[in-house]
Amino acid sequence: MDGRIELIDATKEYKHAGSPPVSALNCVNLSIRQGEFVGMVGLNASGKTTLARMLNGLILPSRGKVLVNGLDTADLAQKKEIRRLVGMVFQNPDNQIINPIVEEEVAFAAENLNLSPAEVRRRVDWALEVSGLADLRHHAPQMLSGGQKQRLAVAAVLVMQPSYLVLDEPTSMLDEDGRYELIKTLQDLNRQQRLSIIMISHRMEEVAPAERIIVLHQGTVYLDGPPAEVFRSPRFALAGLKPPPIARLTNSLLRQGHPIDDRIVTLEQMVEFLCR
Amino acid sequence: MLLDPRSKMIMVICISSLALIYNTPARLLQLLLVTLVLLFIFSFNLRVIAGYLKPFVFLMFFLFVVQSIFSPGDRVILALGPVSLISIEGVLAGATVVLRLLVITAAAMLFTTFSSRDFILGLVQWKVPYEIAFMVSTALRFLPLFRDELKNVLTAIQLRGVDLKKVPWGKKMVMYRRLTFPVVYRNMLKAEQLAIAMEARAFRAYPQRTYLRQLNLQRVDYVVILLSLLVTFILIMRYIG
Ligand SMILES: Nc1ncnc2c1ncn2[C@@H]1O[C@H](COP(=O)(O)OP(=O)(O)OP(=O)(O)O)[C@@H](O)[C@H]1O
Ligand SMILES: [Mg+2]
Repeated sequence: MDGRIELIDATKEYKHAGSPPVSALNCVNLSIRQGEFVGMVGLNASGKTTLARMLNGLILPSRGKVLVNGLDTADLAQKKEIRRLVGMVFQNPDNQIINPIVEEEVAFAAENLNLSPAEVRRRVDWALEVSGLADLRHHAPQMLSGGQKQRLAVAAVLVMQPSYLVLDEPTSMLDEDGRYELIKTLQDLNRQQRLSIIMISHRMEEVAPAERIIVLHQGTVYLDGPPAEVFRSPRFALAGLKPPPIARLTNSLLRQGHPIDDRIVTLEQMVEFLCR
Repeated sequence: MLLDPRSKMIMVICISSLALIYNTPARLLQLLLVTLVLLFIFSFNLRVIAGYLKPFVFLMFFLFVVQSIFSPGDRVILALGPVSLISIEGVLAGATVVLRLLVITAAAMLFTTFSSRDFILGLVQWKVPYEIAFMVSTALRFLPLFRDELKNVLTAIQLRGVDLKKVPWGKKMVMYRRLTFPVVYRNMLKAEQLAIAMEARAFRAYPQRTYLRQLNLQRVDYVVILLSLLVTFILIMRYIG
């Protein structure tokens, strides 16, 4: 089994009676390897949510195909396995919490997978641990902060032991601290568990640490590559986007002839470079 | 007291059945006292009980007045010329309705002593299909959400400079009717998002489901359940017979 998600000519048109069809995605070809950390950006209505929901079959392409580790999302018989392989975290933490106690919320997905009670227990404990919620396990989710709620949403998906984690603007309702905690948790998961992260965001400094950035524009993949290249590309501005401050700093330093590593796009990288 | 949620459910059902069958204020008053004693046993205090019942006070008063006026009776207390307005029978009928409501709402407080999750678990272990138990508990959970949403919309209106207290009743009704759409719509959006989140987490992926926790009926539960059923049965038989 090859570990990757592949979109082949994936196209999505929304049709509603009485209004003209909306083309949300247009012939998208993409391949996301297992273990990759991918940031996805683009203006409003560029098709990000549509693409994200296609990755685990919540939305099926009108034309083209989506393969998850070789399994076609349109194949009903594979639905269970695809849902398990590709976990989803949504924007609003409050609308995805189903259970009244943190621990039970985390258990929900594992309970749905027909596992033994001991295995459910083991996975719940593990997920609570890696998302830093072990101390809050008996709390009511309403008592958590926004950042804790989103980490709860992550933990609630981790119990399925997915290979890919798709997050649709998970930080947009969080404050500075909450965003930091969540991103940190995601980076740890990516490095330690080799979990692929596909994260949508409107904040460039959040996707800058990713290995790869995909820019969507009017339903097509407009740019795709390492952050530094994507931020520097003239097409990035054409897609209506602005690089994060550090990338801009690196660029102007380069233009003024300073010998600086042109891959620097995050504050951490800049600090490390300057201290060397 | 640590009782299985199912024992509490049975108790609520027994009390409510008695409340529906009893038809005199005296009997219902006795039942209310028993219910209150039960609530004390489950460590509710008077303040909490009063706070819980407060939203219903207006409704109960309204029912009492309506019942008192519209129930016919011979022993007239208040008359408007030849038209009798309030009779002793009417007042008794009003008291019956109000007491009945009080007993049922007070008994329902027992439901707040366990989580909706235990409610599901209890039903499932009694062979109610998971989907149905889940639906019932989610519906119960959506009621407060509905109220919150209504509050949000009302706040939005007040922020636009409408003083709700000064709006006459007729206009208020029209306004509430207009609010129905946004409130229902927003709740539907929430429900839809919840459904997507559940689907993404393999809800109903397999016919079998594992449960992290198991509820176990203890000996005290069996005693409580049997006793509740037995006492209720005897009381009903005696009352009817
Ligand atoms: N359920 C739907 N029915 C009809 N049209 C839709 C639906 N969902 C999305 N669209 C349309 O598809 C296009 C892409 O929407 P999508 O939600 O994927 O964008 P997005 O990049 O996630 O935007 P945002 O940054 O606002 O979240 C938009 O034009 C949108 O109006
Ligand atoms: Mg979106």
